[in-house]
Amino acid sequence: MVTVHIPALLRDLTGGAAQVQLDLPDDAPVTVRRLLEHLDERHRGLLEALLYEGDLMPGIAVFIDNDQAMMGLQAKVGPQSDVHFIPPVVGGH
Amino acid sequence: MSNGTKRIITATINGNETTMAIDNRMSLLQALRDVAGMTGTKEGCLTGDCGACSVILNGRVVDSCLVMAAEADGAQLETVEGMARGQELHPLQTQFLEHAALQCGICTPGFLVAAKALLDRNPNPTEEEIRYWLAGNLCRCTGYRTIIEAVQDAAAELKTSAR
Amino acid sequence: MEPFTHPRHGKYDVIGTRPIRHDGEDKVTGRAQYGADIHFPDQLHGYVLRSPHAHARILSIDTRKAEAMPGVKAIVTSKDLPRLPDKIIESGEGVENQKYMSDRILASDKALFKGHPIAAVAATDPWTAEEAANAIEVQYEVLEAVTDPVEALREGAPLLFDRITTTTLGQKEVKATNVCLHTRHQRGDLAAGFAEADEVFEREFKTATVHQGYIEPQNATALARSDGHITVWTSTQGAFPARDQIATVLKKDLSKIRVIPMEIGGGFGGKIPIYLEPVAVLLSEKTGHPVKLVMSRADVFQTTGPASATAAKIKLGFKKDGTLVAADVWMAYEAGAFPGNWGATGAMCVLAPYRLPNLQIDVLDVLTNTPKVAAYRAPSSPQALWGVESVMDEAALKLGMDPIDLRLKNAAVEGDQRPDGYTWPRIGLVETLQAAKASEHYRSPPPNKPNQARGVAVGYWHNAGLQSSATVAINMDGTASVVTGSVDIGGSRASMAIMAAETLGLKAEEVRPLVADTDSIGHTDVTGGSRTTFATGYAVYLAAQDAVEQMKHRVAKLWDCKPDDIAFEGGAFRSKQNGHEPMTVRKLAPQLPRTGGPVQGQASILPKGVGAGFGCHIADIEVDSETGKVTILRYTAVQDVGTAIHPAYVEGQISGGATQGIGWALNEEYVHSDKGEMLNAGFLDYRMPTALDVPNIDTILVEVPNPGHPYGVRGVGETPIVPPMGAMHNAIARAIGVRVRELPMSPPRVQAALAHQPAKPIPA
Repeated sequence: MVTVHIPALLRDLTGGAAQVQLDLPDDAPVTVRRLLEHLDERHRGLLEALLYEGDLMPGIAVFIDNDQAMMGLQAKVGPQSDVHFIPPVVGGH
Repeated sequence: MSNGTKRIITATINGNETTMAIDNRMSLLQALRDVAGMTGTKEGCLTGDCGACSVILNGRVVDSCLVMAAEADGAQLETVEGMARGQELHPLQTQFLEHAALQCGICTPGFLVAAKALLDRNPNPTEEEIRYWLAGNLCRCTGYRTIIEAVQDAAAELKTSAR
Repeated sequence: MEPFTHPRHGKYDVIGTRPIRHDGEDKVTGRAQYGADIHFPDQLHGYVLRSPHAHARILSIDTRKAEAMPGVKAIVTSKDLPRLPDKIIESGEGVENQKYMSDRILASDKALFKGHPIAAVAATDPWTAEEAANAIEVQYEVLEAVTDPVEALREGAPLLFDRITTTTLGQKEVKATNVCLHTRHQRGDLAAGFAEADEVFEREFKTATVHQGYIEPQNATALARSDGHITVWTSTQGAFPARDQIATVLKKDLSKIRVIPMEIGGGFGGKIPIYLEPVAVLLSEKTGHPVKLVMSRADVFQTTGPASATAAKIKLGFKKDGTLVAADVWMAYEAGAFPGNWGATGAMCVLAPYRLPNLQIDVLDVLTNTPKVAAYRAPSSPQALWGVESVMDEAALKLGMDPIDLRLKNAAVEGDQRPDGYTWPRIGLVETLQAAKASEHYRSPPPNKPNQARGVAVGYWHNAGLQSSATVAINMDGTASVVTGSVDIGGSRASMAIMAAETLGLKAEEVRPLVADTDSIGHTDVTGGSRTTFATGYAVYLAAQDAVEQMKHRVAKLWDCKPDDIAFEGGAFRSKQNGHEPMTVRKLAPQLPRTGGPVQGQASILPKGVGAGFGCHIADIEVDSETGKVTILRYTAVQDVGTAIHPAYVEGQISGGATQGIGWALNEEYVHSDKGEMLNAGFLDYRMPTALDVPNIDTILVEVPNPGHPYGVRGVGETPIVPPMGAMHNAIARAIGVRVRELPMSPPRVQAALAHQPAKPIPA
């Protein structure tokens, strides 16, 4: 089961759920983009909300298993992964 | 060209007679930095509030941004560049280094000159006297503790040496 | 979980010592070259014409009179800047829209803050440049201005842009607004949480705009050659991010631009954005001469990014035993004239130190007719945390708990979740609180004369990783040089030399550190974010290890064995078998040419494993009941620093950051006229602490090594500015019995608070 934590402002799209879980087809790792596409099938609008000009919205980072995934939408998500979308830890001056 | 009168001034800077062609509108700070090429004295505010431009003029510490260059004709000037004797740093300079009394260093020349002016007239200052004297020098990096302690140790060192 | 200990923690040879910094002598003799010290014989002087209005449409700009003046060599306006696309990018500053990047440098259709650059002149002397600039005729249609973020939220407030709608994940708003970003975090069940609480506090707080206050004004000198190559000399916190921004604004390849970072007189985040650089380049392109610009102090205050004014509503719910069960926070941050600000960071910081199951945090970035805010030492965290620390203190008094114990009860530890969902790795908040509680200061009786009291508060900053590059070259005599791209604002090059020396078994004086320009080293991100000792230090460590690996191969040649048979320990190469005397780097170096040539290690890194920084400050104060002036009797700053590479500079960062925080707490603020002009744009009336305003601040360094760094380093520079407002506020409240919930807690405000309620002091 992949657990995806939904940013607070997008929970309207998931009926208020703070987390959404899903099984990956064949339990095989997928890219974050593919994961969002899967989620978007159930919760329309999620993909568009997180994208900007085809890539991840600037100012939002993907954390997979508490580690910032620098590859963003192309990072790989495993079948038991925990995924967050949050402002990047590495920001700030 | 905007019309500024030029004049020649001669001042003794760190013991050396120095002649400069200045514009009447120049401050002493500008003359030191842009005409004499001595950039050790720094610009912070140009309104005499930060002390970064401190120099000693005829024995008094002044903000050189508030002194017209023309006023320095015939004057004795001491700047940070004159504090070391050859390769021998002034005790204030070595104590600032020992105490890590500088971080970015932009206020350091001003503090060194102002502190020298203090110790020249009061070799035994209390901590309060040091703080009062240096209240006209702003430092944004250190919180002042290391500067005060450096000045205290330099005062002690100067008393034991024959400087 | 076992606390991580670097194998040699506490047993280093060079780390933890206090060598004289390598650039020290130049700085105490006035030889060091800061940005404004540069001088070319054929240089021209630049002067920027700025909008006198806080909000106005620019109808026309006529430069003909100015151009005709003798000595004027070039004039530029926004027409000379390339048109940039309407596209959001991540720049050295965070997230911003490219189109606004050039508008910020030279206004196109609107002046959005007083001092907004309109045009710039290059002339043969500074007086001519200024006179010519003032001869440029600009027609304005003056508009109503708004400078306060709460005012800017009101229905009917003047709008800065008629096309900005709130960026909010998900909903695309259609109504034009001054709210450029809305960030929200939500966890658990707020209603249930508050229902469970025994004590609920709901309070409002306000802070004023403040400035980083670096003593050295912004400066830039540029030379554009006819072959298209550009050199820029500037006091910047990052030569590479500066180059990136210049290249974006001027639409040039990075290889056409060389940025040479001069020594810098303070930054604190304010010298990360570019201001003068593209203007200097444009003027140089038009004239073929180097063009030098230095900002006046008034312009620094009025036109460079300060730190956000804020308004906050904080509601916290506690159980009788002090457990924090629910939090509801709303904040508005001043954004200044352009989007791309710090509200989202504030949303992450505001409850970060505490474990808590139910929370909702809403933060708005609000456009105002003031300069776009820039980073200022832990940007957004001081404004967020001081209010929380005030409520924590109220709760401690109400619940009859020691204030540090209340923090300990709720302190986040490894495995807890930060408000945005990130899970904490090993952090040192508990150790920091315990060290504060055990300190001699805290154990001493609080001051108890009338109007005296003690206050404590916690602070947090996440710190940054980002990119760094380093090279370590072994000299023919076994000494070494280390080159990095990290601008040295506070003594960091000494720490680089220390880390290289530790890794190579050399002394700090045997390693020569250099801060390089953009032509001389790989990409390196800003000196800021408390990242330099961590990330660039990490790169230095790896580069030194790379050199060690190469040298192992050379020793193997000399000893006719395999590199695997050799270990580097205790500063020497040692044979794992017997038969060879240990060989130091000094001894090996003369043999490098015949074993294969020079040895230079290099590393480029984007490290993970950033360690967050927590602090706890203790302030003993006295309030003068007649004037409202606050005197600090004693002040201690406790902070988790990971490993103190050069303790004097770690102490210096803490002392300096705390002093800035004290200024922010007690005196510093922008005062605006109703036309949106800053009335106190100078050091006399923008009142920063002097040597008379702060006592000797004691620092207690707690070392919980960061497992993410080979020497356990945590960033230290920013955390110390966060606790002072809360500590001072709590001390004042306990001294006079009134909570002053607006910063700064200047004498008039404290006096007013006393006048309304001259109550007995809160029992300690």
